[in-house]
Amino acid sequence: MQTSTASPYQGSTTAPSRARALQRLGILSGFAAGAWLGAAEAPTKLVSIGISPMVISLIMVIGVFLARWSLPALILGTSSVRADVRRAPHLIIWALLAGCLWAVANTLTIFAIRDIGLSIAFPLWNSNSLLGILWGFLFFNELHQAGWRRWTGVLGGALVMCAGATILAVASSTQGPAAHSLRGVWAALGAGILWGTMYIPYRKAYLTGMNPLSFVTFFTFGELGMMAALAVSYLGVGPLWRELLSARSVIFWLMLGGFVWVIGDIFQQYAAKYVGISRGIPLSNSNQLWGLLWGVFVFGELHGRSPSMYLEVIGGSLLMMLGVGAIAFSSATGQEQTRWKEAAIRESDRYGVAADFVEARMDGRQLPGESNPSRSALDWFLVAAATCVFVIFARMARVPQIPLHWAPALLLTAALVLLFLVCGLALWRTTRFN
Amino acid sequence: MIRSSTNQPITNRFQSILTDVHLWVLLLVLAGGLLLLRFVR
Repeated sequence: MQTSTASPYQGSTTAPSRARALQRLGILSGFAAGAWLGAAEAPTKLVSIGISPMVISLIMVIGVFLARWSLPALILGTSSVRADVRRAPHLIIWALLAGCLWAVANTLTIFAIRDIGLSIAFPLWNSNSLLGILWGFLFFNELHQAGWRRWTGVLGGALVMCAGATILAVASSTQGPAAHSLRGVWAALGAGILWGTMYIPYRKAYLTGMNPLSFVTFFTFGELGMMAALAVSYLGVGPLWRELLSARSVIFWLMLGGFVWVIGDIFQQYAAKYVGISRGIPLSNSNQLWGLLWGVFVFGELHGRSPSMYLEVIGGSLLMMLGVGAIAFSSATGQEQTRWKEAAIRESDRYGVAADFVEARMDGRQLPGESNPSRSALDWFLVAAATCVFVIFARMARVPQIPLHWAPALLLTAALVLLFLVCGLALWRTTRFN
Repeated sequence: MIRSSTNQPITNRFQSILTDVHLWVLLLVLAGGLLLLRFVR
């Protein structure tokens, strides 16, 4: 462990009440992220009606691309994105790489869902939180000087989550064809590793002061580029085009899944920014519970299974949630936050980013004299174009012919909207989305 | 306040990226993910 050194950030102007407010905001963002990320996986159930997983992933990513440009343009305007990039241009590379990792992981999750089902695959790829804790500790001084109680909360929570994931993996071995279940487990765990590592660029970006809304706009070029390359190399241009044409009646639903994912991811980015990746990832991994709710109540995934299977899946999920809770209540102390700021100094020194800018953004505020973000005609054009694309595909859409329970779907949707409003307002009031 | 150079030359920026251990961790994991994808599809 590194020894503490005198830091220019020590004695920072951040008031303790402001620091606590940002921690609460990060925790709330983590839970909102969980709800929205969990809901976004539901459309991938369409894989059961015979569309290639590659095509499903590609269509989702196109929806994601549209959302990652239109939402930031609507909320802050692209002028804010340009200003961020001028200050930290190196982050474009990190955002592109993170996008590539996301695309590969997302494709793996679709294979995992195909082979072992949504309610089993979800908790397995959520093992990414363990890796997030490791990377946060190793690379960004997270949990340094955190004290034994917080270490116990985070590590104990992580171990409980591991136990829950193991129970779910055992349950998966009795579900579906044996040859596929092992493959599905590997795919889900692999997705967890990729997603866990993807948070390294997230944390680098926020330690260097970049706005989450700016980061995602470049991130999305990585994910769309990688996904398109994967789809073309695995399927070929001709077959891919034919599959896209044959899937046109469900393109809207998949793009909508991508759009919902982006909303969850934006909340997740704010969680990573304000509580770090060692805590932000487990919190947003409460999407596992939401995934379970969608899988069981809306899609009837475990219908007709043996009672012991129910017990294993529910028990494993509850254990994982217990671990998440323990981590959520282990928020960073002042000393630990000083170590975060030392990591921020290292990043800003390495890449030559102005320190006052980094400090202001870590506190969720603008620099004195910095102009307020404004929207231009370009921003409204981006929003209108994305809306038009969605409307065009919505007109072609048909409700997929798979058994759905609409009442629980509506209830879960209402809960999503409520969380969106509460967390969105809290972010606006506290940081103006900075 | 901390010293910093907001106008770091582009060659220095690339050198900073290439010597950053985080880059190699990301590339290694990405390569592993692509291999796994071939196995599971």
